[in-house]
Amino acid sequence: MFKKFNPQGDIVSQVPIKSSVQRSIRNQILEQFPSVEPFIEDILPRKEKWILIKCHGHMNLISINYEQPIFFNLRTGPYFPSLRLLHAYPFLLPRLQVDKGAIRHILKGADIMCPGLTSAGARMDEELGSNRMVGIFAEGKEHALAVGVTKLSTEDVKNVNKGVAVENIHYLNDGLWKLSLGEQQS
Amino acid sequence: MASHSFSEERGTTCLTNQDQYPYNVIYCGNCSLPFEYCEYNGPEEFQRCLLWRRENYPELFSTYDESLLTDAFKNVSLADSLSKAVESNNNSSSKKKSPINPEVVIARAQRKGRKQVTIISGLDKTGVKLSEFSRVCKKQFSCGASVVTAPDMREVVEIQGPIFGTSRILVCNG
Ligand SMILES: [Zn+2]
Repeated sequence: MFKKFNPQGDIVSQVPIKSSVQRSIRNQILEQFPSVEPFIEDILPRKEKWILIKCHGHMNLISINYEQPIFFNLRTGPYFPSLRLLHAYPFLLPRLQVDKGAIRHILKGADIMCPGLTSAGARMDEELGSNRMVGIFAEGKEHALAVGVTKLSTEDVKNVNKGVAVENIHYLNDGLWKLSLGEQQS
Repeated sequence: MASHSFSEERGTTCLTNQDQYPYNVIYCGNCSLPFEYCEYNGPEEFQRCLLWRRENYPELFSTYDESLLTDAFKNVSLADSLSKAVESNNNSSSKKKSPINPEVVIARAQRKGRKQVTIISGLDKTGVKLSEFSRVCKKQFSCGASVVTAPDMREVVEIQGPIFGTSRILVCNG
């Protein structure tokens, strides 16, 4: 989703978020990620400046104090955590582990194919349905390398073992990872 | 915390940290990724990642990392290797290009909505003064023009407005 993201052309506007809207965003995030409750004040501090960054394609990014965005969503869809946030709070998303060989491709933006999740180095410990938001981890690595949405249930991934298993939404070194808002503050 | 079921395998560091969220992940100052993904950069970039790690986190720079450093990088600092890279780039480009045909790129980029700007890069290598050039542009096109630093740290001239044809003529003549 951020493969070709270009801050100069793709950011439409950056506006402060009203406190009433902040509250509803916070509630939606708590509803989506109940486990984050003890940390919500660290992640989305009430007193700081919340910025809504609207991008082409109805993409919204949420930043605190113009720091790197921590959540993003499409239109009014569910919020995805950014990878930096997922690194800090790895329990935010259910995890799938790909084998080592898949890392290279994922870091180029490729979707996660079934065999990458069923081979020896891979792990799918949790039963998940399709259309679930997941963190993509990798064999031998501690930190997530992508955030995605399952296209097949984990059961189908095992049975079919062909084609796209998880859509790659956001990965290390993509446009969102590299985005820095500092220079556009004015 | 069913979603955290891998933790026992990832060793004690993780277990002792369990109540210490947020994790303080250390990112590579050279490539911005977590250390463990540095190796997926190009080989030369990875060497610079290792140098950065050796200089900034010696305690995390293992003997294994040391063994990955090639001879060319073993005894240099990151700054040295960077300036060397720049030098060799300059050398190759000045040898190959500048006498005959330095590469100037005129590109269009989109600003808010449908506004467009013209970005001219590569001029700095031709010996044209960028500030001088932007001043001429301002007069010629009666619009804003400025020297900005592009994301890849090269200086480019940015002209407000989609004026590719005319700016090309100016570049060719100037
Ligand atoms: Zn690195």
